[in-house]
Amino acid sequence: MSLLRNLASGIRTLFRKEQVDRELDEELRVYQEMAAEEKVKDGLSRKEAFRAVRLERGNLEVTKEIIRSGAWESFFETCWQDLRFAVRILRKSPGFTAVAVLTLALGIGANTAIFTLLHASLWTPLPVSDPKEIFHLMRSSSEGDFAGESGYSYPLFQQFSKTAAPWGEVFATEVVRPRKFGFNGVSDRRIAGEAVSGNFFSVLNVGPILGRVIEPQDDSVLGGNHIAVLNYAFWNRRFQADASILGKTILYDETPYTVAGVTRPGFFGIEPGESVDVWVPATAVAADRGWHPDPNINWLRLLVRLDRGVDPAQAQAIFEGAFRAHVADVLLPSASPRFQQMLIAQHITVRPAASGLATTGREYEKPLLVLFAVVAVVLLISCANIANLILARNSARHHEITVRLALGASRARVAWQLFTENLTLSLFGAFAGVLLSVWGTRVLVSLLPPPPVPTAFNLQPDIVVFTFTAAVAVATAVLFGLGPALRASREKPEMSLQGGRRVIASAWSGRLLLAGQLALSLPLLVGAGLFVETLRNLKSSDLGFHPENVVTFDLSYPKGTSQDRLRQACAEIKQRLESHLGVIVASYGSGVYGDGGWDGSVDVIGNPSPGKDNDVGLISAGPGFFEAVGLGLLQGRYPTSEDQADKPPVAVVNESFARHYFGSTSAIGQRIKLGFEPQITREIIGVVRDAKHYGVRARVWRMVYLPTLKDDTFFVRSTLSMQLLSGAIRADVAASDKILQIEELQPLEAVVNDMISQERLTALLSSAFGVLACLIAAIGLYGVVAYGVSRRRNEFGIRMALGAQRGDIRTLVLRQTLAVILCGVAIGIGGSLAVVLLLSSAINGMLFGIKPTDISLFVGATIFLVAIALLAAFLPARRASRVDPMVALRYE
Amino acid sequence: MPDKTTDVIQGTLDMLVLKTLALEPMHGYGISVRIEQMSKGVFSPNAGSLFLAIQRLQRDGLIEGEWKASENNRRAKYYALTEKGRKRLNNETREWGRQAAAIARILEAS
Repeated sequence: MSLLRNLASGIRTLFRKEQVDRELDEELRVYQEMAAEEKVKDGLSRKEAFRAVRLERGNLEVTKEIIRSGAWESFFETCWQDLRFAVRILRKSPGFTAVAVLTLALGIGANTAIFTLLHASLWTPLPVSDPKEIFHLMRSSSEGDFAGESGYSYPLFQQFSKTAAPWGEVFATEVVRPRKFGFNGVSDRRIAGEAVSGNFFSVLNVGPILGRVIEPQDDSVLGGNHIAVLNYAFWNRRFQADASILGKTILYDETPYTVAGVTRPGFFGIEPGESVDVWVPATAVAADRGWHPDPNINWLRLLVRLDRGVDPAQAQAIFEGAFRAHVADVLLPSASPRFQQMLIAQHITVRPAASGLATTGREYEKPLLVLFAVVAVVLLISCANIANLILARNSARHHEITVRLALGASRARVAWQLFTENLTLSLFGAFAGVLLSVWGTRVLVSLLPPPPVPTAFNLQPDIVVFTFTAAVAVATAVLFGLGPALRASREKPEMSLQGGRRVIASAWSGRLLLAGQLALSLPLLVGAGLFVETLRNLKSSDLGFHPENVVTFDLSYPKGTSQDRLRQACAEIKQRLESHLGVIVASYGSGVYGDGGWDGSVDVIGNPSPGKDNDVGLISAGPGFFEAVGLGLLQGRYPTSEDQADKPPVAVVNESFARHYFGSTSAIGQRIKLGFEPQITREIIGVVRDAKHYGVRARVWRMVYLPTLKDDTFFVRSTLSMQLLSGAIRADVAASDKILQIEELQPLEAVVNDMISQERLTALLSSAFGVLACLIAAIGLYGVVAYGVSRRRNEFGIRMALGAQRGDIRTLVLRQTLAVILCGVAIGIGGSLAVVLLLSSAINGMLFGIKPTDISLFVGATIFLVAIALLAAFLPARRASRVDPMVALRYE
Repeated sequence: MPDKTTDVIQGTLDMLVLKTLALEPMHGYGISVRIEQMSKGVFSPNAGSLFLAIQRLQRDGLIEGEWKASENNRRAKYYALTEKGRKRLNNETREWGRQAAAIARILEAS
């Protein structure tokens, strides 16, 4: 009750300030007069009486101030006053304010941008009820996890559903992929499609806004219930929210499905950043592809909603048990020895998926976290820099501060006011930073390679982001502003009011901050060096083939197109393309980098002791394939178009294959049988160089290349520009066969570069921020040295008048600065080593061809930093040496 | 004037103000004079602490203020004890007596 009254009274005071003030004034005046009257009665004059009262009872104005500040609401008033004062002060020195706000905006903006991306891709809960209960069942092995990848067959899903039934519900989804989509006989662009189990929507508790969603009983229809559910956003975009779409037929993956409903707005699936357009039942898709009962086809991702109170670790143990049983009973009996080993090494991990599967986010989690740390350090350096600026400024405002102290302001009051100024700076910086970050996040996302399904991250800064930024701003203000504010409030008024220029007492804190800045910059430089070197090594590492000047594209055609027709089309496209001047060779194959190709077992005829591991990578190669991708021949010959006709089947193998099976004897003429075509024996006609088909970091596999006369991926080596060549390709493909469509037309180098996009992102941003950090530190150094020089003009003038040479002055300034620089760099080297050693296990996976403790890198970074720092110190030192003694001495 | 005035013991000024007002409603200066008289000049609160205490008591609902004409026809704000204030004064007086006696016993024991 009394609290309420207190609150009400306080608020009344705030809003009726004038009246309350007037009342207080009057009350105190009455008080004073009454007291004075007593004195007059005692025989004092009126004037003397008032003076006596002031002495005895205290000054009226001071009393008022005491009473006002005794109430809580005065705090807000003071803050508001300070804020207005701070803005006024800051406006008086626009240069300082601009530099400080800009530095802070860069630092805070970069932090906000990376936080936004991490938040959007990894930390935002799914828009479903109780997302915390949802877990991902990850099938993992020591080789790496299958996170987000399809790891389960339909029978295993059914098994798991039964296992979990008493305490949770398992649901399944297919990997989201671009699917062909058609409506009213018109085939459009591909859409993001996802096949889901019947309970998908009911478990997530996502309902329809129109019609119905996929329901559990849709799974039980023999051959699959061919219905489709549209995403609300897709329905709006593609069908302008037309309700009559219900019951109509669409083509999904070239199969007719009936539209059954539209999901409620806001639901996009379980993968942040991937907005699914159409959902269809997994049973229907499985029936279309004939996959349903096969336990060896892994195409589903499994998730589970655990009942409240179920321990995920316990659930994991039970799933693991069910998995082991399934492996032993169903999978092992028919598995190859190598596959058996893989199966035994696999386990089930139950991982929280409240934010969804976050495949994209997880892929970039490590680089983003590293960058997060980097930008945090950059912000720290900015803080040190601004603290230094403020220290210098405060000593220039020395007079103002001491006057305030002399007039009776308490030290706490002065410190708080100065801190408010710094807080204001920081808030301005944060505001500009948020604006910057909106742009920054877009740039960050655009640096990621385009995924198969367009990313749809929600990058609008939300309340969480704003809270983060505000917290950062306040923390920043405390870091750079509290120290200087407290320091300034400890001034001794008596000393400085005596007038004259005060010799700066000690620049220790400034030097310490400088050394700290340099020390912090060094690890950033070393880190940037590591990532840049990694990228360089990756780029320059020999892939075995030559992607330069090669353009690649995929052919797509309706299901059921006859093999003959395709063969004819491939031959015709090849011929047409090669007829252009500038095209060196055009060919096709199953792929050359990343995906493409398949794998299987091989049997080398006459091999007396086949090892356990006879798995090989397989790639089909059209005529001219090797010449087109630039895969060099070591022995024998390339296959030609005649090899496919009536001749005995042939194959080309790579170096590793030849070395493994034939050692020093020639592989040419040897015969092999492949597991997937047991009735065919092939003769090896050529050996090509080892190529890294599966990524520059992956190990080289033993490869078998099979001649083919038709395939989907084309490779065109030419001297033409991309633009010219793509025009020719479009024309030639259209002229060859109307049913063909071109997809993913791009330079082969782009495909290669996409595989190292993570490394490129890390290298680019870490070096940009590393350089930025050095720059900020250098500017700080320059500022402090220049300020010191300007304050010591007098001293330099005297020194020169007494016979010091210009060079001596320069050396003096440089020597004093060098001590700071070397001190900072020494700490920095130690710090970098510590960081690198501490994080080596985490960083190692991100590096390629370089050790984290690479000595030349440390030396390089140190030299770079010292050079920049010396340059920053040299400019003011030179100015110091140019001081004219006459002018300097007269100045005082 | 007494030779020596002492600062009121921390936290007891509120109690003294309440006690002063228990006799009759009084304005700020009157309170201060009466505290001085009753303490025989040992306590002479300055205006700052006095009005701070008044503000505090008012916000806690222990006293109420009202503008009235004073004895020599001057407008002044008179404060009066509320029912809640009277209860608080009784409690505090009892508590103070208990504590003072205890402290005295400790100091007298040797």
